[in-house]
Amino acid sequence: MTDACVVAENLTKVYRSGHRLVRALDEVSFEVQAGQTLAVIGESGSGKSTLTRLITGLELPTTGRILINGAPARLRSGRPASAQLIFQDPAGSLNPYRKVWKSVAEPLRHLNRRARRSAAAEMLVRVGIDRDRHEDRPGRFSGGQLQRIAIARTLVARADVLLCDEPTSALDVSVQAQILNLLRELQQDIGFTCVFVTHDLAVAQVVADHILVLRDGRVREMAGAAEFFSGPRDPYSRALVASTGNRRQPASPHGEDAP
Amino acid sequence: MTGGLHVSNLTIRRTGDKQRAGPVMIGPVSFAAGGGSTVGLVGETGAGKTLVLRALMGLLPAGFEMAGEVQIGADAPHQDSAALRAELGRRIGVVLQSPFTAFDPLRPVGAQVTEGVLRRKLMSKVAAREHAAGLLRQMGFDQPNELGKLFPNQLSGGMAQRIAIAMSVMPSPAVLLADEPTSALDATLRIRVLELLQGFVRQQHAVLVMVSHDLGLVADFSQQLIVLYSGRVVESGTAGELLARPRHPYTQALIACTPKLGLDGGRELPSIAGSVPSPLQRIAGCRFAARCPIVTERCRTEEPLLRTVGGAQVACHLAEKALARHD
Amino acid sequence: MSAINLPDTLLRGERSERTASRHRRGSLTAGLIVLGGMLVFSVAASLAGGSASHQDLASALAPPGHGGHLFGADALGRDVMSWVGGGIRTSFEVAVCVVALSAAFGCTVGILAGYLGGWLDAALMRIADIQLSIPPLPLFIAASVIIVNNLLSLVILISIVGWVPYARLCRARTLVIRERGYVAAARLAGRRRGAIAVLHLLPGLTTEIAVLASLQAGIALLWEAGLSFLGLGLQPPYVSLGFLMSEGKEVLSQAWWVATFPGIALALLVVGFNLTGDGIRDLFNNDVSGGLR
Repeated sequence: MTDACVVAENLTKVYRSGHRLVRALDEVSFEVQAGQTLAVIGESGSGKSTLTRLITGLELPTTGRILINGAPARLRSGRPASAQLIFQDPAGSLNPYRKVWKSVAEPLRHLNRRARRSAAAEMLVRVGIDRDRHEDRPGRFSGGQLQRIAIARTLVARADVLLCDEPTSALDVSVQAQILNLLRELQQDIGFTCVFVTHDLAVAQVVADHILVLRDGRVREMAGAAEFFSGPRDPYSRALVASTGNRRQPASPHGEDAP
Repeated sequence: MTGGLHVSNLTIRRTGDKQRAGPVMIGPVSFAAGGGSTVGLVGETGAGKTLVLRALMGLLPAGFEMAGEVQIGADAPHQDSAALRAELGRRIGVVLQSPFTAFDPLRPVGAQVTEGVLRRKLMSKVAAREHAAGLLRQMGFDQPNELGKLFPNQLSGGMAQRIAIAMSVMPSPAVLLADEPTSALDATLRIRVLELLQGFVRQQHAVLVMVSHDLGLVADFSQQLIVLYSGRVVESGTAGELLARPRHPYTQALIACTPKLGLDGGRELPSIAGSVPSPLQRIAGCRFAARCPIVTERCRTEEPLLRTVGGAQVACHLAEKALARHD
Repeated sequence: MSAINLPDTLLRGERSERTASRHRRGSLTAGLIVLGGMLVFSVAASLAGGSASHQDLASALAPPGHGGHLFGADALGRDVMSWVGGGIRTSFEVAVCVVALSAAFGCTVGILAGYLGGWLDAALMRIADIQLSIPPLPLFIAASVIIVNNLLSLVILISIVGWVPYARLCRARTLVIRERGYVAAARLAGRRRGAIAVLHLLPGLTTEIAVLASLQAGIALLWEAGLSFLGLGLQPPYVSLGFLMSEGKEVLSQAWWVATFPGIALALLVVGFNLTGDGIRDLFNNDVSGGLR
């Protein structure tokens, strides 16, 4: 038995929407080794967000199961979840009425106020937020800074698994680079396992050790990153790669289409 | 020249009290585009690109005013917001980021597509319906009449955006202003929609001014690129040249930190330390100085003006050095 | 709102944003001034005049200005000004207590229904529906048989009739807020549901609850005055504006002041609460966007 950190076995999630049944996920299975990053690639409607909710335990699968370090993923009151989540919308992931250090300290209910304050402060500084900003509320920060604060909160929870649901899609390119670098640096230091959901193949290539392609709730392809990007086997994956590749690469001469 | 757009020294500033207007916040922006071409306005959040677009529409928010000249085709140049506003729906068309904000959710889309031209009495009812059907077919819909009966909530994002584009081009505008027209769409749809936009633009000999934060995508579809940073134009020129040989350190950094498929994965992405100063902030010297890898003392005191450096315009004292570093 | 009309929509958005910021502070200040003024008057009246219930038959039906009665006197020689001052205080007491009680109950029901959903939500909302289907006046009339002239009972009765709007509001807003990222993050952090409701749901609701409360306060006042007018609410020894108005009704042709002054006071109170409610809503409502950012 491998020491996989995250194991998904035949995950299926069915919702009722009106009088229709929607299969958000259909028999999805995969494994992620400890300390590695799995990039889940899919477009809207592929089921990728549902997958993140199942892995964290926010929702339970209809059938199948998710194991994190051997234990089923379930939320227990009073203890932080072993899988934490970074959301796509950084502003929506922080309570606008609370000071950011309080939001970051949320997983530390069992410590006294002083210990919580210093743990939160330490983590905020680690992700690049100066001490004199810790008493501010989310409204005073930029998107990139908010995402860093959200990352600090997940680290404080000492999660084994970090789930990122399109964490940089709403950010500018230069800010995205900063956040991706930060995540990589933290992963090297702390060693958490990462499941990174994105629709952007170029970003996936930067972060991933392995790739999982989802479409309409089903797994289309799963492969190591190098293998995948040198030549995907599934036709849908190939179409995705083709539509992402820039027709005109920077730093190479182009052919002009005259008006 | 039947088509074409000529913008001279467009600046935006805050309305000061009485005579004294605030300092120039954004600009000056100048460019000339021939009919059938696309101008890409690139910049990150806070650079001011949306405000530039709003100025071109004549719809600056309260508290801002514009100066400069905007000439559409061979018309007399417009110099104020009211004149430009009057052209909306005639010579100027608008495509917004979210396809659904263009539609009234309570009415079928068919009626909305023709509504504008009918209200402005630009064509007869019959002509409008035919023209709309023709445009929708061009956008890839084989049953325009059936499509017209649908309500906006029955449409997918891609469908809605294509219909919104058809709606904007109904009056055959000479200028089409698009604010991130594809960022709300899936990757596979983006290229299709941009190709449709380009197709129309070429056919009608119109000018498309497209705002985006996605340098790579915009570069594929534009002939000219203008790069905005903190309210100033830092580089401007033909798209191919700009991408192949960027002359401004910011443009270089922007291109470098964009992930591209094909390079080795798992490498650290170059990034730019710090963040973009707000266009409202008064800064002495070059606005990029605080984050520039080749900054000098002169950069911190003297603001660089746009000048020509071998085929493109750059606002940098050290453009030649930056270019040499890049090559 | 086609793309061609879009300019019109954007234009309207611009214009209304400008006028809205002018109105924003105006309503709130006006409302608070009115309410504040009423309170001051009430205190002044009780300091200046004697007791509201003091009967001085010698000055029965004295017109305003006579015999030290600035607002005149009623059929039993009671000073109208003192009565109006005391009545204003009673009205405030009733309004504040009713709002506190009905908001506490209604918001709790609404948040529970919205956050926990499922059968609890269905059950609570059916109870709310039943509550709404009971016409208040017959309820009050029936209740008056058992409960006679008691402030606490009146407050409870009016609260029973008035909690549903709070429940509906809180439920609707909770349904939206609970989908936000930070609520999910709180659960992932290990917070219990109750703590999440107080720390994360409630702060997002307070502004709207405050607006609703201001408007409901006016309604509660009117109920109290109306019931007292009909003889079903507060009678002496309680000092109620409604009671004086019913007295004044009898002598309206000879002594207009007995009904008019309490009537004006009542109207001003309701207007004051409404303006305050509008003001709070305008102050916190920044949703007049024009489309483009």
